[in-house]
Amino acid sequence: MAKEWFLLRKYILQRLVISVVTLWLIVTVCFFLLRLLPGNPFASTTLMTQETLDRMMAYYGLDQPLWKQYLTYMGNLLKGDFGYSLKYAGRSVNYVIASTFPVSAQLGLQALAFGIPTGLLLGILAAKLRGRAADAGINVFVIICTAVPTFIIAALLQYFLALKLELFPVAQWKSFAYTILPTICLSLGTVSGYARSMRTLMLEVDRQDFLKTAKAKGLGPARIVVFHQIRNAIIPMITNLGTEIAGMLMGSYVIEKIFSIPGMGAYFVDSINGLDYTMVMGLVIFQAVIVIGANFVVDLLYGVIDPRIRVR
Amino acid sequence: MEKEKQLAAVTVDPALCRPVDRSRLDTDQIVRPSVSYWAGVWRRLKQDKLAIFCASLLAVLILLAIFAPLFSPYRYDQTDLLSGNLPPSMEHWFGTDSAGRDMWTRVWVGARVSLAVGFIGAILPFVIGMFVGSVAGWFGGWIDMLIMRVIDIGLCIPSMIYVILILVYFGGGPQAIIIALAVMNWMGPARGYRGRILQFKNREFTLAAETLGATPMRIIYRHILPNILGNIVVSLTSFVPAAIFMEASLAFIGLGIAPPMTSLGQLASDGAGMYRTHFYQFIIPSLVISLIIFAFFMLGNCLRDALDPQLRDEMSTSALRKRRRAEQLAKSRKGAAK
Amino acid sequence: MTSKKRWLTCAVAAMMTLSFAACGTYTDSTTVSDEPESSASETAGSEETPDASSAEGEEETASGGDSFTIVATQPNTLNMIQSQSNLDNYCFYLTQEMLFRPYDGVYSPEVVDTWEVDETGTVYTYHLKETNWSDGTPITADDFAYYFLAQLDPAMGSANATTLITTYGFVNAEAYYNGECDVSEVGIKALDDYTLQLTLEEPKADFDGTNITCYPLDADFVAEQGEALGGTPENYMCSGPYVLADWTYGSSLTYEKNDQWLLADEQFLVETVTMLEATDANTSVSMFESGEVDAVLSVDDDYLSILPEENLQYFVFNALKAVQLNTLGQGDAEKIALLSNENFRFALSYALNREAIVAAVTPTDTPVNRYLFAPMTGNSPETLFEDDYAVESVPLAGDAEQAKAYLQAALDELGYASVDELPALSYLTFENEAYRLMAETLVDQWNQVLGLGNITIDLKPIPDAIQSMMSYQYDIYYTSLGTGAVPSGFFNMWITGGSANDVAANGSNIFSNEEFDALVDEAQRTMDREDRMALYAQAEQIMIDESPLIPISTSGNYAAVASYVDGFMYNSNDNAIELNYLTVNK
Repeated sequence: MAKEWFLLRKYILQRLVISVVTLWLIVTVCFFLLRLLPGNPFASTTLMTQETLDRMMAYYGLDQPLWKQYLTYMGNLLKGDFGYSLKYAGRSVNYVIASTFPVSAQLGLQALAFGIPTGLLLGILAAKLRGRAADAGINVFVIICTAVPTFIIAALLQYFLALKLELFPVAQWKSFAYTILPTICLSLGTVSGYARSMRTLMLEVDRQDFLKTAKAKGLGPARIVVFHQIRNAIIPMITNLGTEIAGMLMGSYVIEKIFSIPGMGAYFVDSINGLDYTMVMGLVIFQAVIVIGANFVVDLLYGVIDPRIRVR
Repeated sequence: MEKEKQLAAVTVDPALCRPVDRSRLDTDQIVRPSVSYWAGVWRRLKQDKLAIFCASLLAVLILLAIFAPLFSPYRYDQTDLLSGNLPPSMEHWFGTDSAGRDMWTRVWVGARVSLAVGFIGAILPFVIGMFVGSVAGWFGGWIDMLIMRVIDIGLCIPSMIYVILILVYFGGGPQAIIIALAVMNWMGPARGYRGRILQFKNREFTLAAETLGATPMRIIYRHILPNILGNIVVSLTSFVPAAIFMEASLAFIGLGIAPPMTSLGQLASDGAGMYRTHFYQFIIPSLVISLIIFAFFMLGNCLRDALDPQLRDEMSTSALRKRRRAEQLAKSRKGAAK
Repeated sequence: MTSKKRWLTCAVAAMMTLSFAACGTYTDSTTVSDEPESSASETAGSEETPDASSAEGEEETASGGDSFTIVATQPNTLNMIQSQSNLDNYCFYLTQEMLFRPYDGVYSPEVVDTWEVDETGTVYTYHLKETNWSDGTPITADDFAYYFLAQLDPAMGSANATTLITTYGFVNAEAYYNGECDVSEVGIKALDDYTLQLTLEEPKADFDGTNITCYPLDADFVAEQGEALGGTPENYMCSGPYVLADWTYGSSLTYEKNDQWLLADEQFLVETVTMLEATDANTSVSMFESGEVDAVLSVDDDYLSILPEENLQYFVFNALKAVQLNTLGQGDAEKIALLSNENFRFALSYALNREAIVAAVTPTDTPVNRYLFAPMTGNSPETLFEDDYAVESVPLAGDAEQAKAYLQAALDELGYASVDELPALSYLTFENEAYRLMAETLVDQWNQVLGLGNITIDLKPIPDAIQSMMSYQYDIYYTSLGTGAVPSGFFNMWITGGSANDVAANGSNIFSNEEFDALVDEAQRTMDREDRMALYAQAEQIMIDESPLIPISTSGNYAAVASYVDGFMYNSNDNAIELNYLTVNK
């Protein structure tokens, strides 16, 4: 036992060092990739002369040699300062993250909390009722969710449920009632993805030897399904869970746009489109920390859930 | 009740029991014709009516995409400013858009792009991801470590950045978009495939093959791959719609197919704003996308059944349905007889 | 089986409640303010009960209503020095005092008590009223002077300096901007706490002493805030009709009435104004229909037919959409000859049926065959410039035969046997649905009418497209240009060395005509309004004949305003949503 704890501690320490190095690599790669993008961050539709543009570049220190800018940026970063947006003067990236992340995270967590269990449940049902009407129904639902783009589903749900039936508010982010419709829309992808994978994996596990053993041991069907079949079927899905959770927490451009939600999703797209270097860097670093953290947790979980894969 | 019945069944007249004639029991007899794995897959697939239906649906869609624009009297980019927003009619089967362009032609031209991008753009990253993932999963150690870190970095940098870079250096054609999709999407499958390899690496049959001296490549492709191919095909077929939509969203931020060429995703997103005024402009491209995706999706399900070596005929969904139908038929006959 | 299902359902329900219990990211800073607002909008939806809410309003005598909610795009920044967007100005207009406040194009004194101009027409002296910031500290003439000086300060990196210099030409403004003189030498001075003096280098005919946008800006506050200036309500000082109470990025801005404001009893009577961000066209319209908002500033083309006509108000934007030819031809002699060929340009222009194109592609715009269209301050208030001063130009419906004749003439002049021999051209435009559709339509129309089949569309994200335009990497460029509130604003961009003409500021003009330059220069010195306008009309005629700028349309905008709202006003010359006389009677 003690040895195992020691190994675990060593493993965690190792991962920590690797994570910091990974993070530094991400920052560096991203910093230089961004500068390869064509265009000028201050070139907006308002007409400006080259001279004005040059002055603005100088004001923000973007006329310096790239390595100098990099060193300055890294220096500020070590102090925890992401700097100020180039596009939205006065908006500090730290403040933007602090004010928008909780919103996106709440929406993402709600969608995951609703989507994953629902998806798994549908997948299990479909697998257990294979070939019956329920299976076909679930398949049709999954097909619709996959085949119709989110922005169309969201717009239609908004039109019928909010505008025509007045069950929910149309848009904005004021109270729990305002979050229901966006949560459902955001979770549809998760639901259909999990339902589909779960169905397949359940069928795969169905014929493996340990189930026969379990049956031979005289376990009840419910016990077999819950403790053996589902548990084993879930394992492969955990691999991408970290990335997926991180992705959901970072917000969705489409959903946030359609429901006027003050989340992070819009910043990701708009800042890259508008070449808002500091904003992109801040968001990328923040996302990286979350993704790396989530993956780390998932890797630890992996060992717990599947005894065949042990921390070495 | 049940138990009593069973007990009743157990008490059998010993006279009915006699030793088996061993000469009639040829253990070496081949019950089924020995077929290779892929021939088996093909045989099972051929028997699946749903698979045939989906394959022919896909074939029809592909044929329409190839030939419909050729036989149309209109060019896909031919504007007719005085006949904009016409509902479907004999002249314009799918109506016209706001600039008076024939939607029938545009939809099928768009389907060309979407099919190509969706198909190649889904397979290419998957193959790359599978290869990288299996290398990482099998060899482990520092190779795994390196590959996983590259993936970590790649996944954390917004794909838009390198998509823009790729499109800047390769131009805005379908090839560039496929490359962009490959660069964007290989990491997810690689990670997933690595997980599957890890799962099967310590299995008995893998160990047995290893002990027998099989090379890693052989083990991966002959022993592990068939076991997880079903799952891979399912995710691959769900990658096709993802690729089609990714193209559409790239188009949305100006990184898609260069105008005046169009794609289904783009037509659908342009039409989305019209769903309350010109419903057909929104529903027709969406329906065609849905049909393509439906066909891929169901074909994927059928393929999954066909590809799985452990899944015998009696276990496949179609066989299950057949058996159930036969049972029901028997039951209803019994009922009729009573 | 059933027990398993039940178990799983319970688990789902439990997980949902667990995660939903953790809330608190909602945008309402106070729950109190939320309650009346949402209940008010509910009653607005159902028309049967207008009495209930109007009863509340009767208690106050001069009430414009409790709240007004409008969907409008958020400002980029409230940093007045860095601000480049009219969206920012919507907020400044509501939250700041002004020397003169424009309303529907007419400037009336606000902080200015009296003002005089000397006989040379260059020294303007303004005597100001005593007013305060919303926190009670007094506003002085220095604050108004600093608004201009900060934008001219070379250390501040403002993008607005060039416009200020060309429009008003304050003494030494350019020298100060170029770091050649001290701030004390600039002709923007506070003589004492309540006297502001502006000195121009020469009289500007288009500046009548009132039509100048000037807000107060506190130099100490700017220095204290540094980079954080104007990012949040805490980093922003208010002095105007409203105080910015809350700003949630990407969601809403809340303005509360400022009772300290000079004219608080007469204008801007609505207590709370909320500006909601709804970037999605469908959502904005749905929110309007459901009664969640009272107005939508800009209704998307696709939704105009859905809303009742009585709720739509049309406003002209002072923006010209035009096709611009790169007469420098990217250094290629063949392209230079082709793109600067007058007949080729006319062929492109005459081939376009602007009426049909605009109706099909951008139905909220108005097709034009000239540059100045929007109502302008310099012209008489009743009539449009285009009505008073006719020019000769292409018919709005185009003329295909004429276009073909021009093309043939161009081919003959340039020595091509057929149109297929022309070099391939690229059409640069923004990545945006409307711009893409316009590009596809124009290119196809040229193909259909003229047989020009070798124009490729080059679609780029805005920063990239602008950069390409500024480095002249295009043959044809579809542009949207602000035409300004006065004619000189637009024409100054197109004189030799003008900002739209010589964007690289290195002498590479795409249009250069001495007669045009002289006319624009003369007009700006001509004090008599009618003479001045006649000169501008002459200049415009020259541009139509000679310049590589082919006008297509001017932007327009439909706002949706609920029927219980009176006095909604938007004016693109003033760059403001003007709620001065707005009343909400619900």
